[in-house]
Amino acid sequence: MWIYEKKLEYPIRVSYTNPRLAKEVITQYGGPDGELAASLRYLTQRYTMPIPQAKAVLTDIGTEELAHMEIVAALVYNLIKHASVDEIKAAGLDDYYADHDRALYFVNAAGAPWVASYIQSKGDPIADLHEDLAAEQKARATYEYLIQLSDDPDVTDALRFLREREVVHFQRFGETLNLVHEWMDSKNVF
Amino acid sequence: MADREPTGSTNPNVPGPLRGQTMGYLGELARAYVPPQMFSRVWSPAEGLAKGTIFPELYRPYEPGERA
Ligand SMILES: [Fe+2]
Repeated sequence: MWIYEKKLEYPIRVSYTNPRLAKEVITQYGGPDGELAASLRYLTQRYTMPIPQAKAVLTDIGTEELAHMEIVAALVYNLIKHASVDEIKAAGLDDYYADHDRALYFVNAAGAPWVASYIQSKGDPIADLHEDLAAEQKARATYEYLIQLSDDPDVTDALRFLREREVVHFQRFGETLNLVHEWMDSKNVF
Repeated sequence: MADREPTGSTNPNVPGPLRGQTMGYLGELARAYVPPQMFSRVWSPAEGLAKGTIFPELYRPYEPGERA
């Protein structure tokens, strides 16, 4: 179970209405390397982790990714909530508007909907942890591309925070991989 | 891993020191390693929130333009 804090993990603001930037940032909501994929991947893989430390790391990081999903949702919504239809059309967000108005939906930057095949749950803890390490690097790279694309210093500030969290998560998954290897060696399971 | 033998391996099936086979890197072949973080100093909670981590050794700020 979870306990909900009625505030964001990191406070956000946006400088101005910017549907063009929203169209790109939304990929970290519903894209292949986004926060929905990250949270569901870790919270699902944890069941087949062989040691309690690994289950705990996946639970903790999966929970934090839910908090990041909320931050990204707040960024996207604040960038589009006051946009006029003309501004939405000019930004190329009119295809999205036709189906969703200014509501949040899980899509990548090109509008493709989230699919479960973005993630794997293999039952093999070594394979799963390597996917998780790669997922953190892909998320870090995506945040760097979004920072390059951002023309809003307030959005960039939040993207920098989220990017640094991926660096920390990579370290934690690496330490978890070492623990699982040590556990497997001690059990002599190969 | 600091307190390990140079092979870095706890795998009983891995024979002898593997230093030569791993080009001077610690550890056994065909697996990935991330060095464990050693606890040192930490930033204040406020500074950690601003930076995204309270651990100076994990802080990797990004400046666009490096390969943009
Ligand atoms: Fe992450």
